[in-house]
Amino acid sequence: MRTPWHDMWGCGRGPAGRLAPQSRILAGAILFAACMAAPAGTVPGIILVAATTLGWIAACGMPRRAARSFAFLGLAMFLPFFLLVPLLVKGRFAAPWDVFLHGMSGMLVTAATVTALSASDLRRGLLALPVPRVISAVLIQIVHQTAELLAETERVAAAVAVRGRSGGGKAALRVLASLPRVWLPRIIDRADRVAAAMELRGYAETDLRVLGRAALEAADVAVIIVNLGVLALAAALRWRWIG
Amino acid sequence: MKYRLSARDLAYCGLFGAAALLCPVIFHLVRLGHVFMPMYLPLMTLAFFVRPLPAAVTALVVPILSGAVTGMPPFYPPVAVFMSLELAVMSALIAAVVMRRPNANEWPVLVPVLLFGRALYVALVYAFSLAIKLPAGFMAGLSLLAGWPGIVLMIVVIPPVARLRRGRGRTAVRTSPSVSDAPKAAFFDGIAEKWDSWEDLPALAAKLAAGIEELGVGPEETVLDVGCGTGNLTLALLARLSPAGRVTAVDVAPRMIEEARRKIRDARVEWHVADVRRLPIPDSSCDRAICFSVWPHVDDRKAAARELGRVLKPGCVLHVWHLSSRRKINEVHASAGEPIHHDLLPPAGETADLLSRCGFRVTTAIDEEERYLVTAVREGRGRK
Repeated sequence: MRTPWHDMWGCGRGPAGRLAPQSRILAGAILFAACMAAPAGTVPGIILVAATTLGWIAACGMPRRAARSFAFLGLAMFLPFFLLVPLLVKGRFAAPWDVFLHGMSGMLVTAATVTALSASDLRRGLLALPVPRVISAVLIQIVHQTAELLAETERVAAAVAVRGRSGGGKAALRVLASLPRVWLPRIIDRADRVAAAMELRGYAETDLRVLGRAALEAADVAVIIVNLGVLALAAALRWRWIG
Repeated sequence: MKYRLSARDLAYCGLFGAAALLCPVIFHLVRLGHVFMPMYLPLMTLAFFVRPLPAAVTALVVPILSGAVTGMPPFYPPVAVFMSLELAVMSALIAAVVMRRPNANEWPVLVPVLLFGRALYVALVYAFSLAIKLPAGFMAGLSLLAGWPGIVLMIVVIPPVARLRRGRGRTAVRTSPSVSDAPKAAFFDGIAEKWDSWEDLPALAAKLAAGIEELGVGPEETVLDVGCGTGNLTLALLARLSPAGRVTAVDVAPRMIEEARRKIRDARVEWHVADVRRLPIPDSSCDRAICFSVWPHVDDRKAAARELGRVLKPGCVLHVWHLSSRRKINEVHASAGEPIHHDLLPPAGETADLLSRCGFRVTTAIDEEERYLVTAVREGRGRK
């Protein structure tokens, strides 16, 4: 079982990968905001959203397979909104189109950003940005523990597969029944063990430190400025300052 | 004020956050999909185990992280943001209630919070649908209906799991009845006469003598014996101290003090019936404080630690000491009478963390089969 979690982190091979981690996170966030701000009902808005999304995917070097998967997932998630058309009184296609364009672009931009970040880049980037330490610590811990738990989940999945059907009513019931008796108590046991190990190493006493903080270079600043420009353009189109 | 995450909170948040990310994957494997809101299950369970802020932060970041990496839940329409808000509010509420009432039944805590959370989510969906001109009533109704199987699953699954916390000491945040509470004092008064008959006193005395030597109690120290009970530690201390040494023995149960005074007639001992949070002792008057076999019964431990810091001289030491492992102690208490049924000893690291937040520097934190010991030095200039 391969999950998007395995495949996504840091798999991109684009020029954005050469930016400092904090710049990649910030640039992705700014472009996400630009895609959300751009109006979906005007041609310039649509062009801006499409160009931003495709440009960022290319800059991050998002693998084609991942881009295709996300595009299909987006179609599956956002096309059903067009089923609401009969229920809408006026501007029937405007609202579903708005959801489709913004939803698809937002998803692709964030996914592309993730492909430009390895898990360690995420840690370095977060710690270099003015994010509250509680949030950084929890987020970093979740990312780390997810990788650890995945191995266990894969073993469970393999065991389920070996026993025959991986779906169906009986398997589903077994999973549901195992939640309170096996799965969650095991997580608690594991958390206790991890906590004991962390206490032993004095982890709680140690503030999170940035090891090898990446300095911002001219390219980082330029990318941030360009992205801010895109955001400003999107805002200008949204509130009709131009066009 | 800077908020410090304990190692335990961080470990629980990491593990349960990871589980919340993977739960949907597992559910998809068996074709249960999102019908049962699998991401909610670990996050709501987590709220019973950690403090409100870490619980809320974890609930806040997990849907966003999942949305970024897997595309589910989507950012637009802002399902990921709505889920984050709903989960964060529910987690904070549950954790806050459990912190205030650690012994509360899980169902009455969980059910209203889940209903409130769902109402909040539906309201957000309704408002957003109105804003982007989608059929708001239809979208809100859809959200309401889609959530029910997951809510039922959580109501069935979470309380039995959350009950496990009682045996694991969510003690950093517990504020169950304090040592000064009448029921607890009455409980110890009721067993004061029998107490020594339950102990192998010569064996205990030998262990205490060895322990006191290891702790390095000096012959001329003034030692505070917190929760002295029938005075077994007091006796061992007196054997160690010179005529210049002093013991201040404190207990909340008057009968225990009576029993101790009957056993010990020594001018070096000063007896007090008092609450550890309000000790009738001057500031910076003790060289050492020993909480022997009493820490689980002190529920407002933060206040107790601060008060002990007040009466200790700077640079002097506090010991939280037991002659058994935490597991054994908690098993004994769990099977005891109601007033001390929920008096659980926290992990040594958690006690250390608490003390370090109350002006102490922790030098030892041990939880072994035959010993639980946390030693901390009161910060400030003083003796080495």
